[in-house]
Amino acid sequence: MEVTQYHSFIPSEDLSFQQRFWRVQRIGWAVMALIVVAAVLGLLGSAGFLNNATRSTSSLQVQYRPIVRRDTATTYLITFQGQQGSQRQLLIAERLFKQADVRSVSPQPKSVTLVNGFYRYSFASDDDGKLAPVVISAWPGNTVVGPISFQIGTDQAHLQTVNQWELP
Amino acid sequence: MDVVIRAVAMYALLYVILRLSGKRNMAELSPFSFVLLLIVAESTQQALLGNDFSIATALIVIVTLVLTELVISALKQRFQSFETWLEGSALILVEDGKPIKKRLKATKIDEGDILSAARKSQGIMTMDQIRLAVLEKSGGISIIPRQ
Repeated sequence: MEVTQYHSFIPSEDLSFQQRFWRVQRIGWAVMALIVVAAVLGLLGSAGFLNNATRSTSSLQVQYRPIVRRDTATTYLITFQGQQGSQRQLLIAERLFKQADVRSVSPQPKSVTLVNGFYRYSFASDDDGKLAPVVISAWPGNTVVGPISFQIGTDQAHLQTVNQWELP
Repeated sequence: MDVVIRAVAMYALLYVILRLSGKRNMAELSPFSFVLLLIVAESTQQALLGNDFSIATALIVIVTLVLTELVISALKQRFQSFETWLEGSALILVEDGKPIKKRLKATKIDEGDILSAARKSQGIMTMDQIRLAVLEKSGGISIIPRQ
């Protein structure tokens, strides 16, 4: 950088600082660009092809977003698999309800009971004997930001762990 | 507690982003920049308050932000290097009618911006008439004409 003859008249001019700051500024711009790219990919909790996960057991499949935002709705889509009966039960660990504000479970269950740390939902099949997918709508934010982990399944022998990360 | 953390976090986040965006952006707002600023303010407001619109929450947020500003001001006064990092330093952009290209490029300022500042403050028409053009800490451009 050029040395100026008027430098002494501008005492607050600090060229070495400016050069360091410009380096930091360029790094900052790169970080901001990365944030935008990460958001587009879904890594910041929004919809994006990297923010979809599926967990399956022999009896159900859970689709959810691995990265969620605090105080923002997230859904779990549960599809029953295998043999269909007149009714099906769904076990959801009580832990989910401590970590997030579960606001709705659709379709409406026939009954809900709390047994051994799990909420047991019973769903009836429709007239064709099929069980509609269950949609759980929850708002993470009951605990500090960080990992959310809970188990879900149709019975104690077939549980699947759902792991998510809650962003502030 | 949650509101205080949100307020301090948003204060820090905004400070860093606005500082990185370049000082000049804040000094001379174009109409679009002004609209952008309003959108930023609206987004910030939602992050600060969430769904809580109570007077108590607003009071906590305002007091936290003002107190944070006071603490930052005190730290700037106490530590010179801290102030330099937060506020930047003045920078000569034109010397004896000659623009210093590297600095103009680094600060995203072109000769037209300097001539515009020169016309406004000194009624100067050409670059040759400028003895010094200084990008001040505040983001404004000071023009010192040749005698």
